[in-house]
Amino acid sequence: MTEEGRWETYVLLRGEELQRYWTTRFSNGAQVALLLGRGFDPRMCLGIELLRAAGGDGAMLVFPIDFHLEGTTGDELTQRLAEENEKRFTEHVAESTAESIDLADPGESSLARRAARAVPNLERFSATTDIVVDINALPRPVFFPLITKLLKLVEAAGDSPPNLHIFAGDSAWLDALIVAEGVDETASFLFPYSGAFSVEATAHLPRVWMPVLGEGTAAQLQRISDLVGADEICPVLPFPASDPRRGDKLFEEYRPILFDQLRADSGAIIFAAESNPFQVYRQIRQSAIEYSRALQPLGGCKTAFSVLASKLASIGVLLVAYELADVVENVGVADIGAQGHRLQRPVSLDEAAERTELVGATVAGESYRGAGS
Amino acid sequence: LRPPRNPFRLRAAEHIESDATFVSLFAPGMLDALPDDEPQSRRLLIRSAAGGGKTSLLRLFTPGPLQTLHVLGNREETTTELYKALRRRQVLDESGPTVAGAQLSLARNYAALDELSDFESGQRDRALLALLNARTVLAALRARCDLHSLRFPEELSDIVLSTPNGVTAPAGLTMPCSADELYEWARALEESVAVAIDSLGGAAAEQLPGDDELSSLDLLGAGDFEVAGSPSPAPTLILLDDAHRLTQRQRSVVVESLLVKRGGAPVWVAERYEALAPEELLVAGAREDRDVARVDLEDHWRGSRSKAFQRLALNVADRRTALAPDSALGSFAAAIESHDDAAYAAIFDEVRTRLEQAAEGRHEFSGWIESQLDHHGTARERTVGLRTLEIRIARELAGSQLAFDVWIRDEEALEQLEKRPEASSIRRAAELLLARDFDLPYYYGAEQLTLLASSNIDQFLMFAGDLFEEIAGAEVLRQPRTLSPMRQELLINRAVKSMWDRLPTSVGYGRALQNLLDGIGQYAAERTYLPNAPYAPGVTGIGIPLADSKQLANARLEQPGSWQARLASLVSSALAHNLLSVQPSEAKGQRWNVLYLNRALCVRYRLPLQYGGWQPARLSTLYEWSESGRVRQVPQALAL
Repeated sequence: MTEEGRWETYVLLRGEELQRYWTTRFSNGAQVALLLGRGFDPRMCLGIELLRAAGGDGAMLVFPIDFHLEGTTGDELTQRLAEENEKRFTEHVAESTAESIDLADPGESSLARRAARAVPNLERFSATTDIVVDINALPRPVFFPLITKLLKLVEAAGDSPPNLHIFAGDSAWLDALIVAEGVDETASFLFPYSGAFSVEATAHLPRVWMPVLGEGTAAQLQRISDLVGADEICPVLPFPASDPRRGDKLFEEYRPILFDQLRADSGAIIFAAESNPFQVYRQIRQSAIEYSRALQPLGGCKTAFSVLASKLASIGVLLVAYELADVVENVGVADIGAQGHRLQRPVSLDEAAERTELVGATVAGESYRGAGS
Repeated sequence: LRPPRNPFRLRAAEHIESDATFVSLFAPGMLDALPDDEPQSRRLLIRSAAGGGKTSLLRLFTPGPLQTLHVLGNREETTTELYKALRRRQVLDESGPTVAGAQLSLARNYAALDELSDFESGQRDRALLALLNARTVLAALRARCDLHSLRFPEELSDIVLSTPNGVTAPAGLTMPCSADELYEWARALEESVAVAIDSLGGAAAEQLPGDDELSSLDLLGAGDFEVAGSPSPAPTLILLDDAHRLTQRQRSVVVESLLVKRGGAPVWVAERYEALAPEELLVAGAREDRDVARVDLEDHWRGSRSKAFQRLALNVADRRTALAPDSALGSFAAAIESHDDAAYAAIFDEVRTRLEQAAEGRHEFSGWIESQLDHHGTARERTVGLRTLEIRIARELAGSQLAFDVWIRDEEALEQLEKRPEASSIRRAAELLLARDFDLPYYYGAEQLTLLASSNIDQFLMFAGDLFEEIAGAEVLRQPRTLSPMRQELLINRAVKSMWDRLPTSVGYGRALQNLLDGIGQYAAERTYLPNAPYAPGVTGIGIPLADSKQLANARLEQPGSWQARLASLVSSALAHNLLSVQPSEAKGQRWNVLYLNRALCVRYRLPLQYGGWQPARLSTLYEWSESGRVRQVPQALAL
């Protein structure tokens, strides 16, 4: 395992800076493939709006991803938001080419496996210089396997692979407003980060769990903890954060579960920047490596990651899992689904746009050429 | 490890690291739920809602806790009773454990096998059996290492498993072989499956192993273990946990075949109710017609064993209390008992006046009233006595024959009435009505607290933990270590509200379920608070004719998409989570299934905690409640 992480130095742009970057890219002849989810999240169209405003019309292929989470339901508000999103999306793609990726047919395979299969190779992106995955309206079971697969394909693509970017909205206030309803009875490991953690032959190894905490997810945390059965828990709290006391509030919220019930050690808390997925990556990666080294006399350890917070934080966890799964065994991403989601108060698309800063993380491509892995 | 600040918050056997802590917290009464005749040598299916105690039961039979108990023997007060109970059941003898429990969770990746749609279902089933064979062998080897204090897997070379001729070995395994070879075979098989499961490009056929039967059970049942050259005679007991985590199809392949398989190592399977199909959940008694020993934990503790559950829960509470740092509390119950007699003394005169008004000046009742006023006892007993009499008089007045009958209502007649079986129910109704009318606490004390658990240990720990938090805080502040009834009720109300608020998030169909439970609760409250308390101590359940129950149970298959199917999903979810429980009953010449509210929800509607009172309802009414909810006023006590 290398001391320096693959994304130790990184490319992360936000807001106007991001827009300027893309204006330059398009003026230099960039051809973009944009993959985004169709759903209720009021940030769904922020990515396509930014790219169009940067001059992307005519240089952009759009791949809306239709997914249907089995057995899910939405309330009136989320349904209305989904309709408004769809209307706005249709206005945007009128001048671009759109090619739907349909994951809605359940068959016998899981949504996560269908997401990975949706991009068997890079052929459909052969004319593109940049692939952008906008995860604002995509659930983790879709974008974890999808981005993992794209990373693998880009790595294997030879001399001039396309750049791979991830877009996500930075709006902790909105993340906190979206709550799950009817959380699944049991958690599971997210494809393709599942197999190794569950191996019984290594069940004697200590288990370390690093959940990234967000508001209002006690039921999820409880059920994921049942799955992982961790010996050591390292809760990840946001700091620095837009609300400097957010970490303290999360500590208070989860004290009964994490510290009274599961007996986590408050000395094992990891702090990671709320708005920077690469900071999340760096902090978690470092801790995971240190645990692995410290527990080597016992044969090593198993490490599970979970994200109960924003999509931005999810990017960091995805990158750690991707990198460590390649170099060490026994890494898993534990996750849990829900029947549906609800916004705790009405949010308009305009309010979401005004109060959200779009963040673009470049995770593969020319910026990283020559970087160690 | 530092002692837990609030030991009641420690949940689930898998989160208590030390075997010594585990056995010190394990209440021996839990063993009463098991069949009497050496359950360790038979097939057993253990079911409950989450938190019922399944995993703890399984863990007790693994080598770590058994070895710890063997070492402690009679020397530790906290474990002596458990030690003796296991000796009686021949799980322990002079030399140590007589059984090597191999615990294995079925939560790990089995369901993911069913997602490999590149393969036919038959091939996936074969892979499932192969994986289960490998993991069963691994769990048995680990248990054998634990039994002999060997490091797993480093010291497996000290172990040999020999089998008689003719025993079928799992596919890919050649017998005889050393424990090292067994481990390597199982590890390689697991690794192959793990790679197949995580394959981004689709798994190759050669990555997926297969087997036709659970031959690991034959291997472990017929095989003899030797450790360092000496026999290790303790038979292997396979303890399969979390069977509800298999897919429905896998469960029917594995669990059912495990339970009917003849010969081989004994197996216990533990699962949550959520694994059951609606027809099993919705029709009381549908789970009793199999030839395998079954233990439904919550059902076990209801009815005639409710007192045993109370003892068990308080024993658990005392064990947790003893684990707290610097706790000077001897008994948890002692900290939460005590009636507030002064509060009853303060209302005595008003209750008396109301009784006299209720009697409408009828001379027929004067003997009863005088007799009750002469009664000695605490203020609480005397006040409750007056209110009980008020209910009796309301009942008498409701009878149309009062003016013409010749029955003399004197002291002797009252004593006769007090000896009838229903007398205690009327008294409980009086306590409930007094609490409502005078805003007195009702949900307090050890008995009420154990009833609130609805026969589920985790639920008990939730309420008891909240009370203990306050008691522990009082200790720190050097204040009295007892909680007043008023304070207990306030904390219980808060916990119930929190439980209620969590429902939409934590349970499938949570909002519709809230509507349904609200409908049942309000209807029950309406029927409970009638002046003559006709259903004393109160209504806490809804009765559905057996024929309707069967219709509901089959609705998802026979009427998919119908309102009955939706209602069946809701009720199944409520039963799986112990929010409702079903009990058979007979009344009006008909057989009924009664859906009782979880006792904690009774607090929300100010209902008594005893079972027994129910009212009939139509399925369509239940569905209407679930869809729209009833116009509801939240009781004042819940406006926190």
